[in-house]
Order: sequence, then structure tokens, then C-alpha cells
Amino acid sequence: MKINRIEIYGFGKWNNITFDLKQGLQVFYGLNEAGKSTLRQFIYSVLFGFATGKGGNKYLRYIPKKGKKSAAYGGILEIEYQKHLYAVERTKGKNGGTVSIKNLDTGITMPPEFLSEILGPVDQKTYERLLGFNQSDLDDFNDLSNRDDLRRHILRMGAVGSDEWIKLEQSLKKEANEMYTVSSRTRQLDRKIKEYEQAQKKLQEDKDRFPDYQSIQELQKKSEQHLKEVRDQINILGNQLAETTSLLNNWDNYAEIRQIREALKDVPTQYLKLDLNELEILLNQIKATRSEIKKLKHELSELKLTNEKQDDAEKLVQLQGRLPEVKLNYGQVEDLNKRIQRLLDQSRMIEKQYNQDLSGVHPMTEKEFNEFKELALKEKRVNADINQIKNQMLETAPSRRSKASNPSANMVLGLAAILSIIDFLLPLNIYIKVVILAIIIVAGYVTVKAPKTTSAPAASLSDLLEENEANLDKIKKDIFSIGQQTGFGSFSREDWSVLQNDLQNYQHQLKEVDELKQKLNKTTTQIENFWQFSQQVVVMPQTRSKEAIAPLTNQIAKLVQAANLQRENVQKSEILNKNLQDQQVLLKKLESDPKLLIMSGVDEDSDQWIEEVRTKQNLYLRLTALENSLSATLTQKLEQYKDSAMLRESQSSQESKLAELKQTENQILDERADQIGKLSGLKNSVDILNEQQQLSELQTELKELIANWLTLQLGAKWVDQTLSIATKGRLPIIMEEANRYFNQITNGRYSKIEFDKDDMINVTDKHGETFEIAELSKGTMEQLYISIRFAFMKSFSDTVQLPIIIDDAFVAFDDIRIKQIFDLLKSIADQNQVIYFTAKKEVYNLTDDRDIVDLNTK
Amino acid sequence: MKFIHAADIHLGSPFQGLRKISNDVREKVIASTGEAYNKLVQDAIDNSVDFVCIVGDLFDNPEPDLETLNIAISGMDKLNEAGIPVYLSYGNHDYLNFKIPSNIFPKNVKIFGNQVETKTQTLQDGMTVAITGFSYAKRAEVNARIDEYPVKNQDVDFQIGMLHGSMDGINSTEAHYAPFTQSQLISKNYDYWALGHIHKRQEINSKPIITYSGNTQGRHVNESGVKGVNLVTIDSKEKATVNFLETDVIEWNSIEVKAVAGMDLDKLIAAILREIGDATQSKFQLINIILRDSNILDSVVLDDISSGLALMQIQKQVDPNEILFHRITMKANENIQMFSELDREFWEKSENLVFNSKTVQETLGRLIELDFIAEEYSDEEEVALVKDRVELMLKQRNVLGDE
Repeated sequence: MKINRIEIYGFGKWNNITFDLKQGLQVFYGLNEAGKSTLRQFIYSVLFGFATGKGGNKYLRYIPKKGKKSAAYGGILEIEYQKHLYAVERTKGKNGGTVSIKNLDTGITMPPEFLSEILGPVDQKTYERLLGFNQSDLDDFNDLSNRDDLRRHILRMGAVGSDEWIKLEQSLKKEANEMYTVSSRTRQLDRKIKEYEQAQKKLQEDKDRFPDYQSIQELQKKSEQHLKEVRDQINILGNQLAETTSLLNNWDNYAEIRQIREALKDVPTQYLKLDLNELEILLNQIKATRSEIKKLKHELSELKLTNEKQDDAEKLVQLQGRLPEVKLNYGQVEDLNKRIQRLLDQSRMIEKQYNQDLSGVHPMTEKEFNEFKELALKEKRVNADINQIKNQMLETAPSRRSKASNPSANMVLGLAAILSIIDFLLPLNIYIKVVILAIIIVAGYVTVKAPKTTSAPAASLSDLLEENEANLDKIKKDIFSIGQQTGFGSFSREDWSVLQNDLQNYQHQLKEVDELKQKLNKTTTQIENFWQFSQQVVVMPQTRSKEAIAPLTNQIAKLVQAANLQRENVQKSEILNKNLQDQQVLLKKLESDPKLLIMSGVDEDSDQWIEEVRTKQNLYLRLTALENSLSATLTQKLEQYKDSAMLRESQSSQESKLAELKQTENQILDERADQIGKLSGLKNSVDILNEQQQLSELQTELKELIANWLTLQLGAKWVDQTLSIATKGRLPIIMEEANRYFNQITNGRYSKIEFDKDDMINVTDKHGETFEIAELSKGTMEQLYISIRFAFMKSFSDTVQLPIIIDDAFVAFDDIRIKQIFDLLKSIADQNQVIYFTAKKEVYNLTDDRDIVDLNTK
Repeated sequence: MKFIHAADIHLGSPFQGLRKISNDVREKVIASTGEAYNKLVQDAIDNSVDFVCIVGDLFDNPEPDLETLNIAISGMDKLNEAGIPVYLSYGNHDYLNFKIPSNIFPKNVKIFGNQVETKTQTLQDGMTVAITGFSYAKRAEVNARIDEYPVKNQDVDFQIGMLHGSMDGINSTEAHYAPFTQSQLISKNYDYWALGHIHKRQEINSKPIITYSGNTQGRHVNESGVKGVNLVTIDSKEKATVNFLETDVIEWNSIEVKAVAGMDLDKLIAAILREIGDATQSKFQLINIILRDSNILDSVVLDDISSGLALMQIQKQVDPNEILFHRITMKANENIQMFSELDREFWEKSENLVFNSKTVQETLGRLIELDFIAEEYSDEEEVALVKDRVELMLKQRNVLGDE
């Protein structure tokens, strides 16, 4: 069909505009943004439907912007189809727009399916590919650098959209090659294959690492067997070694036995059976007895006996007994003499004191004396009182001081007296007594004489004085009578107390002297007796004096001693003799003990003999013990050996053999443990089934990859084959056209294009020379391509009967080339409508202005 | 007479087609074949069977590791203690070799040698049974060993044939495995044929019963559904009944979801979850999500699926102890149009040129040296799947940019 007129209601920038198309080549000239693409898209849209709002196509809808005179969307294409005119109107609607087709001749509205009839088996894409030609087609062709690629490209142009297909084939191949090629070694698929092969190898290796079941069993059995053998051997050898060791252990005993037997070889049995202890005891007894006898004899000989009489001894003892007494007596004599002397001295002193004979004077009786003392006291008191009264009388003017008779004076006196008596009775030296007495007296006097301050009436004082004086007189008289009575009168009264005392002493002393003298006599007599007696007994000393006593004592003592000694010795000797007898009897008895018979013939020292026998007996005991410790079998075995060296050798070799065997045993055990360990280690580290499964998975992956690769390859092949077959199918048909076009385009330079049986393309120039296309220049190849392409398009156009639309191609062509193309197009356009969009002003040079629509001005 | 017919236990076999599973799942997976085996042992004991027949592929490979050996041995020990004999023949995976010595098993295990041999047993009730079979000595067995099987021995009450191999006609490419025909088996007059090697449980014949018990635990997406062993009872009148005992602990299953135009990821997930339903399964499920008409989905969703995001998201919606979605398999319907209609004929012509095993193998180049790749692309089914993928991939690329 041809398009006669384009009427646009609203499409993109186009608004209520109509274009009338020439028959043949119609050029639309417009600079960029003039609306060329929009116009072209309008044509497609009316024929095939408005672009949908989806995907990249939404920009091809060219929906008019609101507000621009608000034109309706769409428009009309007036077409000529099969010699009839139709108006194909498409406006806004669902599914690509609402189509209405009106037969302009008849005015009948055609059904929408009529459009499909008109269009034929072509959709927009196909139409664009088939009958569209644009710059990118050329560009793609030009991108093929390889002549061979060019050749093949040309050879495959024959299918619809062959360029896309060619592109796809290339990209499929590229993808496939990225995975793997015939010669590749490191690409994705190669790596996967390698991975697989390695896994396979590893699996096999791991499988091989395992010993097979059978050999495992065999190995185990074998080692078990071996182990048992070795262990049996160890047992046997162990027993042997034990025996040898036991023999060795007992060797010493055995050797000793032999030794002892040898030693006891000649010893008579009874010796061995002898009870040595008994014998020993006996011998000891004998020895002891003998020595005892010896001792006694010796003692006896040591005793010295004299012939002294016994009774002399008695007397001596008596005498000796009297010695202390006589010593005492002598002492007493001395003492008595001294005492007598002293007493006599004392009495003489007293006599001297009084210078008269006191023998006729006797001390007062107690009664008399007390009386006297009382009187004296009274006297004193009265005296004192008198003095006091007198004094008082003297002092009567201011104060009368009377000498009262002081009861206290009496008291003092009495006290003094008592103290005197006490003093006298004190067992002190007479001089001290006297001093004390003096002190008492003085104290008494002072006290009495102490002035007393008493106020007594003066009147009574003189009475009192009288009274007291009378008293005093009486007292004095009494005292005087006492003195007469007692004889004291010849002495001054003040001395009476002393006298009394002295007299008492004197009398006492004299009496005592007498007594003493008596005693003295007695004692002396005793001494005499003593000497008389002693005369009978001992030799008298020169003088019989006290001094002689001591040596006498000694002498006597010695004598007594000697006598005692003698007596002792006698006794001793009796005893000794008795003992001696006893011992001798005993000895005889002992010596006749039959036990001693065994020793007959023995000359040596019995001790030594006994020791020897004892030694032998001990040996024999030892022998018995040793023999008991050794069993008969053992002994039998030992008897086979001469010495222990052999046994030791035996033991040593057995030990080393045993050690060897044990080592072997350990080795076997180690091996077994090793085997088990290895096997379980293997089992732990290697899981065959797991590996196998993973290998299978790897295989699946690999299969998948290969399938993908294969898909790509086969896809490419398929495309390639299809293109090739399509081209080859179509080529012959279009070749004629292509030749003509090529000739025309090249200005007659080349006359023919040919495909040989090898799919090589050759061209023949006007001179008849043939060139492979590889020899052609790029430009010429382009021309060739265009020729063939245009020939295809013409051919398709004949088939589908639709206009060819060329969109701004040939931008890089120079003027001459363009002209050539244009001329070609024009000639094609004679039979098929060609619509040519361009932005090149030069187009005005190529064709009639009337064929050009200037879109810029619309 | 009661016995268990088990086959293709594949102890120690890994699971294929999983990737990047968690350690928990991996542990479950690894333990599964052993657990299935133990279940079988326990079933034998619980049912007081007279014997157990294991028809090949007890082990997954001729050199089983120690762990696997131990599992096998302890199972046999248990049966030994219970006084149950085991008739064991080795298959193409665990063919006779010194790595599996015969003396590892207790005395109750009777192993068939490479020569066809017949073993006999007197049952408790006095009846006698003969069991004929052989073990593989290498990875394949091209000979028709069936010819060496004797006709039923008249002196015994029952005769059972054990054969690990493939029946011609089921799948011709399996003819490397002691091939036989149905009629050959029938001609021997046995009371029961215990077959092994084919993992899909199926009955070939009913009188006598000729059956594959199938394997005991599914190991990849093609071994889906419940797996187990046959408990066979043959009464004195020689009437045989087969009961199926489940032994698997993990089940492979697929669910189908149809893509709907305009589905986004969330809606897709919701649709998948609806398909799963609420029922909790007793066994761990490995689910393959088959997405039909996936070419309808837009490229964003397709990207999510091919990147693995969709799988991750939907996995979060279920209890990982019950279900693992291991794959989303996208299937396209016929309506993919890649090229312009104008080019259709060329497109279809080249399709045939490209999508055949020859071209595929050429394209793979040295990748074919990987044995699992060679296996994968050796059949046309797989090639068809590749074509689906390519179509979807091209769709995803949105070459023509059509919305």
C-alpha cells in the first residue's frame, strides 16, 4: 500500500496538520526537534497502534500536551491499497487506540480486521526491521572490522531483523565463549570441569586410602595369630625363667648345704645330738666349784690366828666400857672443884662486904621479911606524907601545899617492891640485878617525891601531921624489934633488904659447897675404882691422870680390837673349813657325772671343745634348716649344676630372649593400635559416601552449566543457520536487484555480485575482474551492503506491500555518495513508496523541491 | 512358601540431579539406600519369610566402601540370626570381583557364581524349592545367559529363576545386559521369575509371574514414585501372589503446573503450592516442578526461574524436613515464535539441522569426553529437551522485543 496523505489531529507537537505525500520518493526535511521522529511514529502508530504506556514505549505515545488547542489524539492515514483508497483513522482508545477504516471510494466502513489484511504478517517491529533503514544499521555494519565478519554479515542479512539476530548470535556466542571455548582452559566451565575432575580424583584417592575389607580382616587375623604365638612363647619362656631364677635364688643355700655337709663330714653324730647346755652347765659348775675351793683355801691360809685367851678379852671390853665414865668423872671433878671455888669466892665476897662473920647470922624468914618490907614501905609513905604536909603547911598562904600522905606514894613503893622481887628472882647476873634494883628504887623515890598539888585545908594538916608522925614512930619500933629478932639489928636498916638477900645467898652458897664436896669425893672414888680395875687388865701408864685416859683409851681400844679380830678369824676359819668341805664333796659329785664321759679323750680346754661342738651343732641346725627350705625336686635340679655361673648364664639368656619377645609383643600391639587408629582416623577424616554424593551434586552443577553453554551455542547455531538459510533462500531472488543497485551505486564500476559455493562473495568489476570482498575497500563494502540491503527491502516491500521508511541515514556520506544513494532510492521509489526523513539541507540538491516537505516551517 | 524378591538395592549410591543441598538433606540422602535395605531386612524378619532373593546390584559399585560393606553385612547378620537364607546374585554394577570377597557374609548368604547354578532349600513344611541364577563377572553381559538356565527340575516342588538383565523390546539399548525374551523365560516352566536391573517396577507376565521388583530406593528424577520389594507367596497349588512392600525413605515425585499468561513469581508459587496440597507425606519428598507452557511467562519470571530465585522462594514455603523442590523443569508449548513469520520456513529447516544428536555432540566437542555428558546427550529425548531450553532462552532474550 501507499500512503497518500497524513492527517494529524494531535500527535506530539503536530496539531491539526496534514501532509500530502508524493508518489515515489517523499522527503521530509526537518532539523532536530522539527518533529521527524514524531511524524514517523505517527505513521507507525496509526498502522500498528499507539504505543502502550508500559516500558520504554510510553514516550512513543506522543500524547499531545493539554492546553494546546486541546486537539484530539490521533489522526488519519489516507492510503491506497489494491487500487482503492482508504482512510485509516486511529484515535484514542483501548488496546492501542480505536481504529476505523473507511473506503473512501464507497464510503463503506471496513471492519478493523481489514487493517491486518492490509498489513499482512507484519507487526511494527518487523516492519521497522524489514522496511526501515536508519543510521544504526550502517553503523553496525561499519563496526564489523573483520572482512570475514562482513562477509558473513552480508550472508546473513536475509532474515527479518537479521541485524538483531546477528547481534543476538554474537552475544550468545560471546556469552558461551566466556564460559568455555574449544581451546579455553581457565574459564568458568573449565574451572568447573577441573573442580569436578579434582573431586573425582580425590574421591578415588580417598577410596584407595582405605584398605579393602578383606585385607583388613586378614591383617587383623594375622596380627591376632602372631600375637597369640608370641604370647604363648612369652608364657613358656616366663615359666622357664621363673624356674631358673628360683634355682638361682636357692643356689646359695644349696652351696651352703654342700659346704656344711663337707664340714660335718667327720663329726660323730652324738656330738651333734649332744645337749651342750647341760654339759656346759656342768662344766661351769665344776669350774666354779674348783675355783671356790681354791678361794676358800686361799682365805684360810690368809687367816692369822693367835692364842689369846678369851676372858682377857672380856675384861678388856669391860674396861673399855668404863672409860667414858672415868672421863666424865674427871670432868666432874674439875667442874666440882671450880664450882666449889667460885662459891667460896662468892661467900668470901659477901663476908668481905660486911666485914664480919656471917656464919651466925641467918636471913629472915619470909614472914619476917615481908613484915619488914611492909613496915619499911609504910615508913616511907608516912615520911612522904609528912613531908608533903609540911610543905603544904609552908605554902599555906597563897596556896597551901600539904604533904598529903600520898596513897600513890604507897602504890609506887609497893610496885617498887614487887619489881625488886622480880628482879631478884630473875636469873641474871647479880650485878645487873643490882642495877635494876637501883633503878627501881630510884624510880620509886622520884615518884613518891613528886610534888602533888593538892589543896587541903590547913587545919587538918597539922593533925594529919601528927597522925603521921605517930605512925612513923610505931613503924620504926616495929622495925627495930624485927632487927633484934633476926640479928639484923647489927646492920643498918637500909641494908636489911640487901642483907636479907645476901644472907640468903651466903647460906645457900655454903650449903652448896658442902654438897659439892660430897660429890667430889664420890667421884674421886669412882676414879680410883677405875684405875684399880684397869690395873688388872692392862699395863698401867706412868701417871694415873686424866691425861692418861686418852692414850689409855686408845690402847684399850687397840687391844679390844685385836681380841675381836682374833675371835672373828676363828669363826671365819670354822666356816671356811666347813664350806671347803662342802665344795669338795660337791666337786667330787660333779666330776663323776656320766655326762662327762663324752669328753673323754679330749685334751683341750673344755671351753674350746664346747665351742667347737657348738659351732658344729649350729652348722648342723643350719644344714637342717637349709635342707628343709629346699624341696627335693629343687635339690634334684640344682644337683645338675656344678656352679652358679651356668645358672646365671641360663637366666641371662632367658631374660634377654624374654625381653625380645615382649618387645615383639609390644610392637604387634602398637601395630594393631596403629591400624585401628589409622582406620578410625581415616573413617573420621574421610567420608566416602558424603564425597560421592557431593561429587554427584557437582556433576549436576556441571551438567547444568554445560546445558546452559550448550543452549547458548545451539541457540547461536540455530540463529546462524536460520539466517544463513534465509539469506541463501532469499538471496538468489534479490541478487538481480542487488547487482543492479550495486552497479548503479558504484557508478558502473562493479557489475556483479556473486556467491560461490563456499559462501564467499565475489564482485566483478566492469573490466571483468573478480575480487573477493576482502579485497574491497571499506567504502565499497558499504555500498555492497547497502545494495543488498536495499534489494532485500525492495523484495520485502514487494511481499508486504508497505512503504520503505528511511530515517536520517547516510549522515557520514559525502555528497557524491549521497547522490548515488539518492538516485538508487529514486529508482526504487518508482515501484515502492519510499519515505525519507533527513536533517540535511543538502537534500535540496538531490531532488526536486516539490518532493520535499519542510517540517521546519510547519 | 513365602519369600522376598528384591533387586537393585544399590547400597551406597549417591543421588543424581541434586545440587547445593543442605547438609541435613545430604545426610538423609546418603543414609537412604541403607535404610531402605534395612527396611527390607526387617520386612523379611517380620513376615517370617523362608528366604530372600536379591537379584543383582546389591551394591552400587564393584568396590564398595567399608561403611557400605558394613551395612550390607549387618543386614545379612540379622537375617542369619533369624535363620533366613539369602540368595544373592551380583549384577552389572556390583559384578563379582575380589573387592567383595564372598566370605564377608555370614553362612546364610548363598552367592551365585558366574556360572548359572541352582541352589536348593527344604522348607519347614518339607517342601523343596530350587533357585537358579548367576552373577555378573563384569560390567556387561552380552550373552543370553537365559539359555543356560535348566528347565524346571521335576524333583522339586518349586523352582524360581533369578535374572538380572533386560528384556529385549523394553529398551533395545539395554541389550548389553543378559538379554532375554519373555518366551524364553516362560519356556523354563518355573513358578516365579525374579528379575532385576530395570528400576521401574513392572510385571511382565502373570502366569507364571515374571516381574521386575524395581529398585528399593529412587535415586534420581527418573526413578520417581514409591519403591520397594515384592513379598511373594506361593501356595501348594502353585498359585502365586505378589504383595508390594514399600522400602524407600525418600520419594522422587513431580508436580505439573501450567503457566498462565501474566503470572508473576508470587502467583506461580501459589499455583505450585496448590498443586502440592496439604497432605503431609510420611517420606521425605524430592519434587521436580514441571512448568508447562513456560514460554508464556514474561522474561522477568523466566529470569527468576533460571537464576534459581524462584526455587529458593518456593522452598521457603514448605517444611524443609518434608519436601525439597530440587528443580523447576520448564516446558514450552508449541507456540513459541522466535523469528518473524516471514522466516518460519528457514527457522524450521535450521531447527532440524541443529537439534539432532550429531550436531549436539559436535557442538559439545571435547566436553563429550566427560562420560556423564556423553550419556546425557546420547538420546533424542534429551536433545528435544535441549531444544526447549534454547527456545525458552531465546524467548527470554526477547530478541524481537515483542511484548
